[in-house]
This record gives sequence, structure tokens and C-alpha cells, in this order.
Amino acid sequence: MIRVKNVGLQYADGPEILTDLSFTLPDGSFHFLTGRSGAGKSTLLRMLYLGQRPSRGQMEMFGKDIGQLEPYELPELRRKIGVVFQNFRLISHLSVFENVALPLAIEGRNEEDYARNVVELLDWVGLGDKMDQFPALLSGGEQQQVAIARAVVASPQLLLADEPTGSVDAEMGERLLGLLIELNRQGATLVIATHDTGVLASHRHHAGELHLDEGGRLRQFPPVRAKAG
Amino acid sequence: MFHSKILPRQMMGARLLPLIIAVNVYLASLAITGGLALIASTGQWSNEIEQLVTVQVPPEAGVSGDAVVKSVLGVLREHPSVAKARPLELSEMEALLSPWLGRNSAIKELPLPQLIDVELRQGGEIDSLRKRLEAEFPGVEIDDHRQWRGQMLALANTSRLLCFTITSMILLAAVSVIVFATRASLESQGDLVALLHMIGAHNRFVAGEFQKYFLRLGLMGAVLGLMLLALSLVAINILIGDNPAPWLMRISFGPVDYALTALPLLSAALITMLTARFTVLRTLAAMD
Repeated sequence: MIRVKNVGLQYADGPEILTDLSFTLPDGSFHFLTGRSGAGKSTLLRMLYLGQRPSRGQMEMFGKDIGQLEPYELPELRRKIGVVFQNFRLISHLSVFENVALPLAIEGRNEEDYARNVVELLDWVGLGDKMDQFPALLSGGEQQQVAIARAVVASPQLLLADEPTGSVDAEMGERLLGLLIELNRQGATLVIATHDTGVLASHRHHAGELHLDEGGRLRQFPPVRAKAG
Repeated sequence: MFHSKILPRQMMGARLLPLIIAVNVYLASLAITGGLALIASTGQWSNEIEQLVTVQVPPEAGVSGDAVVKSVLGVLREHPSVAKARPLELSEMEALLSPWLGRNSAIKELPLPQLIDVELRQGGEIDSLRKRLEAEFPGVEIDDHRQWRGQMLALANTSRLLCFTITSMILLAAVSVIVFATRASLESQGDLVALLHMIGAHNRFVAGEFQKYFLRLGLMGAVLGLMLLALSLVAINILIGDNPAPWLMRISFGPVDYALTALPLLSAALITMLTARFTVLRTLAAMD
């Protein structure tokens, strides 16, 4: 469960980018994060993956008040969060396998312990035959698949994706979205930032919406129920 | 385990870092070596000269010059402070005076004092010897080169101070260059540091990875610098040859001197490693 109450975010002495945010994300829920470009979607995602702490208000994640945590306590929480970055952020000198296994390697786990899981995951996302390749040799869609595999390899409780369909064609976009929704069905809370109206229209019946307006304020909407008859 | 590959094999700017470190370690070690050689040579030279005195027996000191010289020699050889006493041969006197009088001069005809080279024992004191000689042989003089030695020692001390200052400046410059170059290399890895941070790496893990990487670069550069120094010292010793000028002694060190010369090696490796560690930790702290 993620609870955000009266949260504001500003950089240094500048104006608030996010203002009075209050929302709740129940465990296993699925939400789209929408708003116009520059409304603060990426900033809100950044706050949710603990890349930035709120300037004010209260944010509770995994039963902890984020504002009260010491910096050394944050990495353990970040490991419960999987992030698919808009620009993938793959490491160019690591192979597909190594990029995906990175969240497990930084925990100090042995490769023998996780190699099978990583291989299975790569098969699942459709990159089983490319695990030794380097990101530069992959297409945009394949890079996005690697980024998704890396985000989910450690079985996160919260999965955040920033425009995951933005740089791929519609067919690949639908396939990637299918992967994320499958993980949501397995129990992960899912938040997808998008301004793709087609994606929204296809999935709003089972996903809530967090809408950021231009003033950095947020409105939360439940899934849209299909009208009877 | 691909742990060791999390950082790229080559970071931007890091290729030059070992070379920069090598040059700085070479200069710093060379300056230290020069300082140590100067300290050793002035110390040795000062010790040698401190134990040497010259006794002058003037020609008018007695009726028979040879007899007086023998008596003076007798007194000198019996004295507990004296290790050795030897009258200079006529040929040696000629050699000493040849710059002024020329070769084949009529030196035998001149009323020159007889010079006696005296070598004192370790810790031997000269005052009682001087008193006894002056009392028994009026006109006999003892020259302990004190004034000349004082001037030379003052010059040597000034040179040492200058050498120490230059060494300190080179070390300071080396530290600045190494810190700057290490930070520049790290800046190119800002995205990687941020990614590791965002996926839940502990700060000490990230700092440790960079620390190991830069320690390796630091050691590579420092060892290269020290190898260049060793080559330079071998070349200097060959150039000086077996018969160095009195003011240019062959460089031969003891264990402490070698440890001091290797100091820049360890310092460079440590500075590089610690700069990497603290730069990464500071970057990560700013992210939290």
C-alpha cells in the first residue's frame, strides 16, 4: 500500500512542481499516470521510486514513512521497486543477461543462484536468443524488453514504467504492455506514465488514473466500468 | 559473476590517468631522491672534513725544520684525539702550489711551511691539541677549516631547504592533478552511478566498485612512475662512473631511503582510491 498525503515537491527555492498530492495505491492495483508534457509525471514517478523525497507532506510506502527514513535505509526499499525508464538506461558495456541480472548482482548474490531465473525471464520476454548481445545491437523494442526484464527480475512489489510504449510501434507497445499487466496480475502494484490515448482507451476498464494538471495538482480516478447493455 | 564488470573497462579520461599519475610520481620521487642524495652527500662530506685538520710548521720555527717537524709529529701521534698524522711530501706541496707557481718551479728554494695532514679519531677534540702545540712550538698553527666548512654547510643547508620546498610543491601539484583527473573520469560515469543508486545499490557498494577500479589505475601509474625513476637512477650512476666528482656522489640508498622514495607510489594510489571513494559517496549523498 502506498499512501501519499498533502505532498509537495520543489527544487531548492524554486516554485513547487508538485502541489498537495494526496492519493492511495492499494497493493496489486493498476494505474495510469496521465497529464500533459511538463505536468510532472516523470517527477512523480521519480518520487515514487525514491529518487527524490518530498519537500513536504507524508509519503508512506511498504509500511514506512519515507520522510523519517535515514539515507542508508532507502536502498532496501528501492529494491522492492522496479522501474522501466523512459530512455531505458541500459548499461552499454554489459550484455543483455548482465543488464537484466544487475539488480540481483548488486545484492551480492552469486550468479549460479540466479542465472536460471534470468534465462527464464529473458525467454519469457522473448529475448532468450539474445542474452549475450550488447544493448547497442538491439532494436528500440528489444531494449525496452530488456529494461522491463531488469525491472521485474527481483520480483518488485511496485512496478513503475515511464512511457513504456513511447518509442515502439503499436504492436510492440501492446506486447510490452501485456508483459507489465501480466506482472500486475501476479501481484505487483503497477503505475504506467503515458500520454498515449490509445493505450488509455484500451485499458481504462481495469486501471485507475492519476491525472496531473499543469499546476502540479493531482486527481485520482477509479477504473472506468463498462456500461451495461 | 560479472561483478568486476559493472564498471566499464575504459572510462572517459581514465586511459590518461595512469600516465598522469606516472609522471607525477616520477617527478615527486625524483625530487625526494635528489633531496636524499644531497642530505647524504653533505652529511658524509661534513663528517669527513670535520675530522681533518692541517698543521703548519713555519720555516722559522726552529733552527732545523726537519727536527721540529719530527717533534710535532711525535706530539701528534701520541695525542689521544689523533688517528693519523702525515707530513705532506714535496711533490704534494708542488701539486698544491702549481696553480699559482706553475710546474718545475723552484719550490725547494722557497721558505714554505711544512704541512702535516692530521686525521682525528671519531669524537676527537682539537682544543687541547692546539694548546699543547702552541705552547711547545711557537709559530705552529692548526687549521681546522672551520670558517670554510661553516660557509659550505650553510650552502648545503640552504640547498636542502630548497630541495624540500621543491619536493613539497611537486607533491602538492601531484595531489591536485591526481584529484582533478580522477574526478574528471568519474564525471563521465554519472549516469551509471545514478542507475546503480536507483535500483537499490548501497552507497558503500557503488563507492567500493569505483574505489577498486581507481586503485588499480593509481597503482598502474605509480609503478610506471617508479620504474621510470629506477631507469633514471641507473642512468645517472652510469654517467657518474666509478670516480665521481667530490660534490657528485653516487646514489646509493638504504632501506629507509628506498621507503621514502616509494612514498609517492603509495600516496598516489591511495589518493586516487580515496578521491574516487569520496567523490562517489558525495554524489550519492546528494541524490538522497
